[in-house]
Amino acid sequence: MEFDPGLLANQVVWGVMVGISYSLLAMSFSLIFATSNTINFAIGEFAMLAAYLCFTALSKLPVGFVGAALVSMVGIAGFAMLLERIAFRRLYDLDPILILIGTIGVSSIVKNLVLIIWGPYSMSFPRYFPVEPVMLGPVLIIPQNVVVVSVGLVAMICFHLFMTRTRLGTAMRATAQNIRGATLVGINPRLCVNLSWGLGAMMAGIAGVMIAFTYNISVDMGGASGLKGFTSAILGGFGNLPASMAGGVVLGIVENASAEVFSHEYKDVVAFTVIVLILLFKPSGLFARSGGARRI
Amino acid sequence: MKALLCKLTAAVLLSVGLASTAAAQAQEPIRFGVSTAVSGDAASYGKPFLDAIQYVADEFNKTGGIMGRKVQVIYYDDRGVPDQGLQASKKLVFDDKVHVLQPGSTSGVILSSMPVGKDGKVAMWGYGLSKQWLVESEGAIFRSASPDQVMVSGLANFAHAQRKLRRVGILHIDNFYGESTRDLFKTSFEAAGDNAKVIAIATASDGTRDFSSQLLTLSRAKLDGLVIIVTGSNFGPAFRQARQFLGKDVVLMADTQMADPKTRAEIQELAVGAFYASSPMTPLNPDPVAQRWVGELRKKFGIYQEIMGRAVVGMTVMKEAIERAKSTDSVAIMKEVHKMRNFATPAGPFTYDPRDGEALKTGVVIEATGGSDPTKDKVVFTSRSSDPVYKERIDYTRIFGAGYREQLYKLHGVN
Amino acid sequence: MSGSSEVRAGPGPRARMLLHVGLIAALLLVPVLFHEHLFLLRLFVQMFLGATVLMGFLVILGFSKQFSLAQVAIYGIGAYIAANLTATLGVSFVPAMLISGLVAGLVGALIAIPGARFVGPWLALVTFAFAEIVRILMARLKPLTGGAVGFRNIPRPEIFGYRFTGEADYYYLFLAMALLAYFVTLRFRNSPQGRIALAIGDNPDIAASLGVNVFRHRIFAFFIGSMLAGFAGAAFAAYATYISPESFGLAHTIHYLTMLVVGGLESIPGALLAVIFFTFSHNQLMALHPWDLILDGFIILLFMNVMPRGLGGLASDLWHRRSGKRPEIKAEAAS
Repeated sequence: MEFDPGLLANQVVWGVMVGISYSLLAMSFSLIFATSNTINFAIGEFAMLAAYLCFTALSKLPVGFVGAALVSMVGIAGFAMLLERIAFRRLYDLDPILILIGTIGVSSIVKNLVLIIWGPYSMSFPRYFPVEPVMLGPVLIIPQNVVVVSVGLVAMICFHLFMTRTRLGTAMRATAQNIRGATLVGINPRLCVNLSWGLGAMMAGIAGVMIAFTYNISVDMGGASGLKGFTSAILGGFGNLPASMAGGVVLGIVENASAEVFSHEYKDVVAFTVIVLILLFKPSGLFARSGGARRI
Repeated sequence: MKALLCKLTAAVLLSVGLASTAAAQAQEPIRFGVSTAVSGDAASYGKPFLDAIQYVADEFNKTGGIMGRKVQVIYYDDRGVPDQGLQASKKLVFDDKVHVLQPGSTSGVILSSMPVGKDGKVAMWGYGLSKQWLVESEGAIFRSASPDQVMVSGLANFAHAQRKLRRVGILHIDNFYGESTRDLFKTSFEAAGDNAKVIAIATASDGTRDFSSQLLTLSRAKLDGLVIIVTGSNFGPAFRQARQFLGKDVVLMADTQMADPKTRAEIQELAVGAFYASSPMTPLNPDPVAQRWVGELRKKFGIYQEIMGRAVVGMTVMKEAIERAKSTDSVAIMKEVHKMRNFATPAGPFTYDPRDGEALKTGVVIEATGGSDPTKDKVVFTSRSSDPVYKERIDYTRIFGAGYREQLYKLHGVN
Repeated sequence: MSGSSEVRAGPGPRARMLLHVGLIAALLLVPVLFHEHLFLLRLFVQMFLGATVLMGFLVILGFSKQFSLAQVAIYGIGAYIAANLTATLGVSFVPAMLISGLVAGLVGALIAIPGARFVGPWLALVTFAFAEIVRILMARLKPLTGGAVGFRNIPRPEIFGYRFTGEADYYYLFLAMALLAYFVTLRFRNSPQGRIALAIGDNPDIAASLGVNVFRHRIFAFFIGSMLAGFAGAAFAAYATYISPESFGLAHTIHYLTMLVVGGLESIPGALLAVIFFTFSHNQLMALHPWDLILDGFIILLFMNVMPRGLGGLASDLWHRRSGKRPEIKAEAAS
């Protein structure tokens, strides 16, 4: 196979772009894990549901895209918080395996309900930006993707600022580090955990809308996205928000570079093998300290 | 005397018994068994297919059914999964005792379930696009759609002759359908001559919606055309990404998927300028039989999808065969199917070719001028074939007897 | 330590034996009494198949608490190996089944090796993705697997010269396999290795500090559970005579997880009850797909909130309450 550096550059750029959505999903996983010790396998489905909600809001309500996106963010956050309150709050003392199975059950419910409500056909958002490619040197840029990725980046920065600069964010971080300590200081851990689910769902929702723009809206998008997000979180450092953020981008790059260097069809297999190898040497993730301290 | 009385009573009882059985049989509905994907990825064509079948059955019942008996449709969801389809077909044939079986809406499912119909001696029909099952069918099943071969080679010839493409790429999913369609296109395209070549082929996993790496590679191959062979909900992303990465100078071509209104609603105006291969049963076909069914289906379901046409063809041909055979015996029914010549169906005249088992050898190429509305497209090319589509020949001996093949060949005037 | 792992709640050893003999005798008679009802026999076959896979899953996920989601994929590997052995290489059924089980067990052990060192999300991710990759490979490695269309024409079993023809033949084979799985799992649970595996599952750190070789025991549990999946896969291949990648996907994993939650992660009788119930209900609900998967999800959430130890836990609680005796005394009587 001849080596084409221009092509490799393209793959890397595309990988970074796609990686931003992985990062958001990874952050969602880590946030929920850090505060409630739950590995939430339904995050991919949250992302999917948000995309569907956005599409429906856009077509049924008299709002523009931004309005529809806001509606879907509120909707998905509300859904997640309700879910946590009703079905998961009592479970935190249980076997973690059971909780994990519970989230798998949730993912099945959400996916199949979406299938019943919206049907098996896939849909897409209207075209707001030009789709013709633009060449920046050897690198092919698609304007729509630039916009989508920028929005994702802004969202990530906003979340980070929320976590570090606001009282509520700080309270959530305290809860993640040490629940008892947080209670002593007057923080309501239940509220923080519940909010973390809502916030995590929102992050997943933004990723879902980004993915919907790049590909389309369909009932299967949750499975693949969830796996990518989960992989990114573990790759970066599970339970550690900044590490997970980085993990997403790394996964995007590894995935696409290996598609180029090895093969397209086995892209997922190769990427995954690379990650397993990395984790064998550094099991707590590339960017986290060993011992897996939680940091959000 | 006593003995005579006994015999008389027995005879009377026997004839009453026989008569009532016959009467019961006569009222007994004719059961059409269907295994199709109502959920799962394949549901986007499996469900409309089922809807159309039920609609046609209702229409039949409004005009007295078949041979005066009501038509009853019994179905199970096989999710497009072969072993589910196998279970479903077993249930239909052995538990529900259907008279007619449609063993699956995807080629994989049909392949696995067809033996059940053969063993259970039930007449079968289907549309799943795979030559494998026709060749192995021993005449027990007929296809209610145009064969891939004709549609795809039509597209290839159109690309070569009318659009003058010479450097084409193919993006396909790595399943049976993707690979056989790729091979069909490549063979026809390169055989047309003038140095036409399929320059680059990229494969994608079935089920993936990320074609970025494949398309980035293809974008550097200086193609003048790209054939996209991707099914289901992943077609939209494939198509859109193809436009994104290749720009408007590369002609995009696809298969029947593009006739589907839902798919077009998804890709919207990006579709303009693309071409696709299709069977004749689309709203663009001016034939009155086609127009009637298309109109009715659209009225009933709000939308017409090409897959529904395949249901109509299958059901109408089966009804005709049963009525000609005046029986629900599977061998008698299939014999009538084998003898059919120029039977009018919405997809054109149904003329069974005993050599390859195909009966609807017409394909069209359509230009997607309609954007998100496929009813505004234009038919730009029609290809018809009366040659055998495959080199293999169907062997009818086991089910229909020795010498049957020669009889059929003589009837149809082929050898 | 969870309450029921050391103590065998329920009737005494003699009553237990009678119960077993009675049930087995009843099961043996079913095809004789119901030989016309193919539908029923088919249901039982599915039940026995599910029970075998579930027993294996119970050992891995339930007893030794290893977050594996790979059971169905390993079951699939067993199926494809058996298909290749019997169809391509002409190996007879019983040796093929044994080989499939062995290879499946080894695959499981291989997964456990890196997995045993890490806890939590790591193994869940690895096994989940392993399952996906196995499915991709099943669809791609055409010469070995027949590709996405699947592997056709798998020969029916021939055991000691007797060639399988009807549903009843398969019934007895699957019954034998399910009984094997049951007794293996039972034996494992009551053996020293089993008790240690349970202890490790409960609290690996304490177990390790007591000098237990956590690593080795986890691998052994994984081996046993995967081997059972391999046997089941081989039997399935011979039954369906046609296998394809879609039979080994996430939906099946979800069905098994539901059964584990309902039965209880540490209870064998609970798991069996769950298999019986869900085989019948899934069959009936097949017509209502995808509502059956939604129902599975709701059942999982319901049981987790209301009955986290599942039916098995409920049964043992009821038994303790009924017998009035303290669990410690029962343990003395039982040993």
